Amino acid sequence: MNRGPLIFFGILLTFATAWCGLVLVPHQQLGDLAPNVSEETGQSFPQARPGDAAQGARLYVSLGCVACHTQQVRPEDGGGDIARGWGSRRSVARDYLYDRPLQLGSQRLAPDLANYGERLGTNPPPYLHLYNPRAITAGSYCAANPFFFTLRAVTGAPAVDALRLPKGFEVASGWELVPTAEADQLMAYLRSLRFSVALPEAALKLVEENK
Amino acid sequence: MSQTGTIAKKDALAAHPPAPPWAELDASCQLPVLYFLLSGLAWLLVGTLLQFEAGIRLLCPDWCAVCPAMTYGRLVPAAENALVYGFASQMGLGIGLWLLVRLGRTPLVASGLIAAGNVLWNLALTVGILAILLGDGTGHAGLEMPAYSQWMLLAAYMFVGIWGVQTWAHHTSGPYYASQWFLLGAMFWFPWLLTTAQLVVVTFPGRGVLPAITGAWFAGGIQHLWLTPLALAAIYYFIPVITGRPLRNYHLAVVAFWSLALFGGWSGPARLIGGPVPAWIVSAGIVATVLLLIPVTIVALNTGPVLGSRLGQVCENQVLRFLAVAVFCFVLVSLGNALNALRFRAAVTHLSLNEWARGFAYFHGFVALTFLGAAYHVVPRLMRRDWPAPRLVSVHFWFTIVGLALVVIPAAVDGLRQGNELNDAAVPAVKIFDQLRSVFGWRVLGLALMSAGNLAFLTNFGWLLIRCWTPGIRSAVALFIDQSGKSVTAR
Ligand code: HEC
Repeated sequence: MNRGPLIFFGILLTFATAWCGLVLVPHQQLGDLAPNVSEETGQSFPQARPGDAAQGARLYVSLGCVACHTQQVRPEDGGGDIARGWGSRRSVARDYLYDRPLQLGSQRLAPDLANYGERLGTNPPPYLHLYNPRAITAGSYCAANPFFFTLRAVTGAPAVDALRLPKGFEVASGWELVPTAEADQLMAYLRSLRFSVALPEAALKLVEENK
Repeated sequence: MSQTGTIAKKDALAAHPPAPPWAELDASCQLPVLYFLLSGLAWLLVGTLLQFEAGIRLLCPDWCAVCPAMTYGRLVPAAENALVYGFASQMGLGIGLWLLVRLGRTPLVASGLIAAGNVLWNLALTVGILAILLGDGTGHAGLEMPAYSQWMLLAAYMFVGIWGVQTWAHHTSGPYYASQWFLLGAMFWFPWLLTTAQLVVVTFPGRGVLPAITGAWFAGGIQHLWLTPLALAAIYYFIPVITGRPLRNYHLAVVAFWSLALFGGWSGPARLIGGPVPAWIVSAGIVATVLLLIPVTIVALNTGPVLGSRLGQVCENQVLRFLAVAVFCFVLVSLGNALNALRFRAAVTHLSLNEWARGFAYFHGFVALTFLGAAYHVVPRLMRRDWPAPRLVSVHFWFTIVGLALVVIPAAVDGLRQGNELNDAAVPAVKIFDQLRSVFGWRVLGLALMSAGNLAFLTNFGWLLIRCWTPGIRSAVALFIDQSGKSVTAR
């Protein structure tokens, strides 16, 4: 190979094929994907997150929770996610219409959170876990986030949302830990993580026996 | 043997008669190349230390927990960006520029501007890494540095890329060598990769999963169209020059180049397997990842016999050792990647530590070892002086190799368990993750060794520079004393 321009042209061409195939074509295929409106209920899915959950999403991104937690449910023939109860169907492109930036993740050092809100159900949100995961799961390496809580002296009756700390994690008596607004936002975000809604491209799979 | 004597003898092997003025050519690129190599090495140390600290956070999650800048989720992307853009890109460019000058037998064009680009590059990167640690990361996988620092990085690159390609075009004699194709490709692809990703992922993100698809294309591109060709350029130059033997089956190298160019660009989406994207995109990525075995096989056929026939030299030569391990890692990891791109394997290994281990071995084993070995060859030539402490080179080599093994092997092995057990709903998730902690222990130990090895290199480098510059500094000081003495007596 000794012709400079020819080499250059080849370099341009090979690059252009992948650029068209993987940047341009997907944008045409998925660029106008819209929420699905259910014929039975008339509800549209997915829906944009309300303000506090959207703020919480920012915190989730900023703290890099995605370094350990994925948010994707793989199809049944591609892994055990559904059997494990991490979702009742595989995740599809439409589920993420309002996720920006996407937090799919590439490392599963921790449970998948794509349907965490579903799993949480009507249980109280995991404030204590956010404060220190070791207070709930001994030996967990999930990151602690004490900076989302304010330590303050108890005046009168303890605050309703003050953390109930287990043995070994207590603060000095007369003091209490209360969640900041940011902690509330992160909890709202975690609660909003759910996509157990049937879509034309992905039906629900019931896995009651595994739950 | 005298220092210059060794260098002159080695250069003679590379030379075609009449010998080009190596000293002049080296002088033309001394400043930017030295600058790129030195800052690249510094970032390698920073990146490895950040990875080390991230490992510590996994072992002792409550230590330093009040400080969000030191949380695992920020340390990991900060380390990755420091390593890819700080270390590998700069070292690769430094060595690439030196190769362009040597192979083209032409002085570096606008070396002052290139050095200025390097300063801007480091500035952009420092801002970007600090932004990630302080919570201003974009959250887009592989593009975590905020837009302002990425655009700055791109501007800095333009200084290097434009004059680098100019130098390439000034090539004076004969056909282009394989190293030159790889360098031209890399220098051309990088700005397009970064610009596209910046526009479509960060600045004007598309809806839903589109940024993830472009991001996967970008990640594959950075790996196979930027770091890999930069590293292969070095491998295709240094192995024949140091062994004094031509590469075998060299005519195949052209196939390696074009197949890497084509399949490297398409390989990215394999990392989205099982993800919420159209199936054809993932399939294209899988096919390309498997077909990447074509260039890999050719690299093995080109370099393997040469290295094999010079085993004694490989074991002793400071540079060849690094390159031989690098080629080994390249072949092994590429085989692993191709195998685990297949859907039945990916169901187990995707998202597991096994996948992580392969990425780590590709970067720290193949890319990093290539550049480090090459730097051990290039710096003494630029400075016309041998390494002051050859022992430290061996320390660096062995610490790095042992550290690498400690990080990669336990993760690769236990990652298989992790993947298999995650697919077995009967095993509680918390138990699966809890068992990973022994892998993290090995990881921290390995990274500590690797950091110590890098420190040995930096020490050697600093020592060399001080030795080279002491005469200059001394005479400057003497001059200063002389002058001030005169001014005192004049009073
Ligand atoms: C270093 C890795 C790591 C990081 C970073 C991390 N986690 Fe975790 N997380 C874990 C592990 C391991 C578990 C499982 C053990 C446990 O429950 O603590 C877990 C569990 C959880 C759970 C409970 C999941 C369930 O299914 O019960 C929630 C909620 C959670 N993490 C939220 C977060 C949030 C929010 C962040 C970011 C601020 C985060 N995690 C960052 C490792 C991590």
